[in-house]
Amino acid sequence: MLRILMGLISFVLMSQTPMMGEEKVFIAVASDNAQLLADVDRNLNPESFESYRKLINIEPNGREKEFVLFTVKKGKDKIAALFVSPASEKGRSTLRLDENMWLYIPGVGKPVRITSLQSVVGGVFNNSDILRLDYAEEYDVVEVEDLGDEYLLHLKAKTNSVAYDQLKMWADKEKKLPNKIECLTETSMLIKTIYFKQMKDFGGGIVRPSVIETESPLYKGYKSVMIFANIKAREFKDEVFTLTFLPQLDSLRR
Amino acid sequence: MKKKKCRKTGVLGFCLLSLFLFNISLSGQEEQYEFDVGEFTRKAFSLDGYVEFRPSLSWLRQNSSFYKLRYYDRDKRETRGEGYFALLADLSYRKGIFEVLLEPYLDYMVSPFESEEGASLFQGYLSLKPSSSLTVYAGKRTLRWGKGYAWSPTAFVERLKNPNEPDLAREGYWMITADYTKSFGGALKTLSFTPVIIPVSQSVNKKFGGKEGLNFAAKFYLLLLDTDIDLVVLGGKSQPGRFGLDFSRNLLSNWEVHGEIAILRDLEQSQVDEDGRIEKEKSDAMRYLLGMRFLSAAETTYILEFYHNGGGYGSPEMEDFHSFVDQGYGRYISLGDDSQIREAAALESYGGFTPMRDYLFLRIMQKDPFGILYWTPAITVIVNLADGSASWAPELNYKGFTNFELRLKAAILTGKSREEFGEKPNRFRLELRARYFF
Repeated sequence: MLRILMGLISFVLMSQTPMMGEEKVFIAVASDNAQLLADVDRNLNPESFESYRKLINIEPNGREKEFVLFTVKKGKDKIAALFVSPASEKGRSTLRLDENMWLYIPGVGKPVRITSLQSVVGGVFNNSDILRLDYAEEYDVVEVEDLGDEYLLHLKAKTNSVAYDQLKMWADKEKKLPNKIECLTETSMLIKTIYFKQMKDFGGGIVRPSVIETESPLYKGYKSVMIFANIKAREFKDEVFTLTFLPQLDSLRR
Repeated sequence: MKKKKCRKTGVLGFCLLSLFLFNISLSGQEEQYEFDVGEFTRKAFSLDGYVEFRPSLSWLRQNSSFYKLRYYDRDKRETRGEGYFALLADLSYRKGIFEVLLEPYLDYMVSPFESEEGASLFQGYLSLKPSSSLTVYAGKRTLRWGKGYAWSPTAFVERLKNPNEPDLAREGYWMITADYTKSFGGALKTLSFTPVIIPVSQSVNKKFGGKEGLNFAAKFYLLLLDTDIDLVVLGGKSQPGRFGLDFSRNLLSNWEVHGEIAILRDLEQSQVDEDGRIEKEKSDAMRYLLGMRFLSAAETTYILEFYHNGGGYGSPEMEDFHSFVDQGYGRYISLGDDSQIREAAALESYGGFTPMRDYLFLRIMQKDPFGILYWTPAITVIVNLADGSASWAPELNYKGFTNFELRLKAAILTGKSREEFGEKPNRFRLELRARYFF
């Protein structure tokens, strides 16, 4: 009887051990996945930096409209962008503090709250693309598929205030940089596809795609392109990322 | 013969295949984008601005009070065309922590009734920025306080906003002011303090109103629990004391709510009774606004605001004013005496943007309808809740050409006699606005 009891206890313990082991593996994998996304973020840009971006909206007939933005970012939740061209948009600036977003239009006056789904420039890029925080800040990694040369990361928004509920990110395995991202709704409807192109050495150890192209089934025939320049690590005071400073963003340009 | 045909077919096939392969190799080539950031680096001196041409045609309401006030001594007309030209320039010079900004505004208006040119300095100041936390300004500045889109009862130190055109640039006041900001972690993320000193004399800030002397205002801004909150106060020689609060917050990422409340002490209001006696009364008034901005999944933006204009006129008081105008107009027609009608025209508070008490504002904008970029149709409706009269303004904006903005706007004013919008000088107005930015 005792043997049977010991046998039963041993069986239960043995059957428990692999389960606990599996759980540990799962946690380790989840942690690795989160680290993989964090690595992608850091390879795209330093945590605090400044950069210039040119946005080009290309219409189906080939006509183009360009915007140039100066962008500053600090830490995980602070980013601001200032339009420096064209003249009709010059001085317009946007600020994002975590999930709060504001737009300031000179002449019109006070900053107004805007949402991540709106677009201050029109076109396929919306405000969340222009004022993008780290992916790891807004998304959890649900699953990572190994596709050989690439990882396919399945990301899920942490809150419902994030512009896209799901992302599918194809990332280069060696460089840990995205090649393509599909942005999806909660019902897995494709909103837009973003392609990362033209690797460039920006200096300071920043080597990343310098061009982002996007197209959307919601804007058939239209294409938007974002070209990066002068990405540099730079530290800013927290007061730079406030409504009061928003009209003075230009003073940060050197 | 058959062989020759085969050869011809072969050559044609080879050509087509070559063309196909060439096409494939072309389409396989990725477009290379270049971005020379050098031309966008910051310059010490900059000149920006816009020129505007705004022709309009108004269909007049000849029996309305404000038609009589404006055009009583002119030939009667069914319509009034107007041409309007404007130039707004922004000249700035930056050196180290200093910046000088000049913003002159020049305009010229011509119509069959009159022509008028104007030149004013909207802003002109020197600013000193020793750190990202502190900026000090001295000169003429436009401050924009409040969270309301169409109205801002807490905007104590700026010229009145036109709810039909709330985004228009406006002239500032001469002042000394500063912004001090501090950021924190936790629930309170930002705290800003903006003190303002506004002098009033015969030559400076006369439009600010009241007695000559110094006025002091202040704004405390807090970003607390993801909510923008402003506490504002004004006191001094020229204006009776007033204080207020405003807030703005996102309830959902696509749904923002905002509100303002202002208490105005000893607000002076001119009143005319049915016998034509004009009296000035002082009383405390409370003005408040509650509004929201909502963005639908189809990218339609809705802005809805309710505004209570404490100290505004009620319907009986407005009726007395319209009777006074009618009497004055009758006197001018029968006797040629325009003293009473000029007296009525001088009562500016009856002809302001929002002379009565309760209003509703709704603006609906559709961005890129049917997926076509740069077109934005919109409609703005302002309803006087006391009498139901209203202004309906549909518009179509186009921003497809770099540095050009085009807007076609109509305004239909509905209301009976003795109702606010029924007594405006126009019943319908069509306007084209073309702006070129430089």
